[in-house]
Amino acid sequence: MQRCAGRPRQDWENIILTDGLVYSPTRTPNGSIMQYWKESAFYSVPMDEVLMLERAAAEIFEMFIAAGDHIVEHPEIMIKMGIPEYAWPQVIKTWNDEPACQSVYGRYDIRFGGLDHPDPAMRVPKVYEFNADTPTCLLESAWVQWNWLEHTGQGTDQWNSMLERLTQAWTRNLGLIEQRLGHRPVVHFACSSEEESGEDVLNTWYLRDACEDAGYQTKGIFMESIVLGEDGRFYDNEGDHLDVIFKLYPWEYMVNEPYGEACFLDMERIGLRDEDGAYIGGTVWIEPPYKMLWSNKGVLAVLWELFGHTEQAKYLIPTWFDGEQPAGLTDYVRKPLLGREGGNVVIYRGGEAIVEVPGDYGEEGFVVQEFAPLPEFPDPAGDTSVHPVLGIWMIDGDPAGLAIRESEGFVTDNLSFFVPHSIPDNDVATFTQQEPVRRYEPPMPAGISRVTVATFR
Amino acid sequence: MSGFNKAPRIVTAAAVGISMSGVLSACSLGSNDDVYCVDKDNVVVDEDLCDDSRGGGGGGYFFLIGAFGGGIGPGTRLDGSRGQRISSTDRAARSAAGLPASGKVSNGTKSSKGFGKGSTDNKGGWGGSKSGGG
Repeated sequence: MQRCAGRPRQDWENIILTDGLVYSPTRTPNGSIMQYWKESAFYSVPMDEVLMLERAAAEIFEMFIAAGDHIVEHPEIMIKMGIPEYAWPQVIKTWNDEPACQSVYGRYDIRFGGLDHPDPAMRVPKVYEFNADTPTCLLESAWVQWNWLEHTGQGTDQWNSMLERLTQAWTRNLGLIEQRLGHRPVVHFACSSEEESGEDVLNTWYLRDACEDAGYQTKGIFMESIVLGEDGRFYDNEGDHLDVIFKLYPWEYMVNEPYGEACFLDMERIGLRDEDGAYIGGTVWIEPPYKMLWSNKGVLAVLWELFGHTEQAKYLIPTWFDGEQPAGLTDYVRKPLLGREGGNVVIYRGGEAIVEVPGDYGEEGFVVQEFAPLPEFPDPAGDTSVHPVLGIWMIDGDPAGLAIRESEGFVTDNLSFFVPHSIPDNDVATFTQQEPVRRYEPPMPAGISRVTVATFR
Repeated sequence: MSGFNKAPRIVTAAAVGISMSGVLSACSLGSNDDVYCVDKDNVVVDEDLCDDSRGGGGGGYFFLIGAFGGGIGPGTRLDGSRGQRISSTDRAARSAAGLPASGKVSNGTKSSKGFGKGSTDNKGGWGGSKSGGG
């Protein structure tokens, strides 16, 4: 794996807006604007590394399945993870559904420095966490970085079969859900109205687009507009029942919100019809409640307990629930069970806290993870180094694509950059060179209002 | 292991464009809106007048829902074009707007919020962005 100097496309800021990346311009704490998308560099990942990472991701997925099985057999672990007891029956029920039918995606965050990295520890991929409930950077991974490759030709291929696999995932999952419901559903797509950069809307939109490609009718809604009817069932604000709803919104928020308990009660009635055949049953939520088992960092402690003494420990970073770590640990990271973008992460070296990220997380508890720093790649643009984290997308349970984000520090926070990648050594280029499309004249519109003008080609 | 080389095209830009605006218009209510009991001239009145569970709660009083801010008392006239107005006796409309189907709603209450960042018992803040994703 190499970090290469990139040739930015002329007026790339306009091109990525056209691609829908309306949330690339980001306001920094000191008030200036930085672009989250970076194409002054790119990562070159040879095919042998891609194939190895793909195999590793599939093995890691099997380990997460074993961890889920273990937690479901020992539900008291869910107490340690901060999952409220009223949610357990549906967490367990959706976990045990066979065949699985309520999940389309998730993203692993992986540490990997290349098969030829000078440090042997960096030549084996290690999983930091599984963003299993609400992963983002989908648009960048599936669409924007592919366009970058087609426009610039900086590589022969890319680990990216995202759209095709997402469409297949919708077809397979919704086909099974249709049988359970007894009718072909309209699929609602929801995110929070309070996310102002447009990131949530655009990521939700991409999934919605793939769902329509699979032949389903869809409707968009904000989470804040969902109505709980007097009958205990959920509706949009036009009175349509939510038969199936995809949500880019975390379960760990929902279970603590006013509709949380009603939502889980409603799930128990999925499939009910009245004597006239009308559907009177509950709502099917995608991603399903069992994703709370995987998106919670406590699962990493379960994984270490199950696999720490096996050959597959190579994929793991030693992790314990806070308070259960071995005595004498001096280099470690304390992370909230339910945190985002590095919030409330503390890095300890020699027993001293050297990095503390502010935030509002940690109420449910913490895990302690051995310090496993990201690999360092020099930044030709400056004197600093950057630290890339690899995001491996799992679509319907299969590895489907790669996303790389880099940051100056060791914590990948919301000021990190998305950097495209390519595969340099396919025999034949697998794409056709394309001319970029630019839709905007400066000044570019700001904030979520960009969503009203961005379109996909 | 197949297809690192699949071209991930999104087709039908026109259709996507149309339905994107559909997302935004359907989502125009419910995020941070305040509820007031008003008369036919959109003047704020005592919230008891919109309580349809009181005998005789007849027509003539409405809920006006919009981003007016909290703490507005009776006598103030609100700009009806900034909000949605529903009859206080229309149970279906009340429900659809995120209000209790019947009964008293205090002036200045926030609408809906069964789910969402504005609902009670929520964590505040993200340490950076307000994204639901990560």
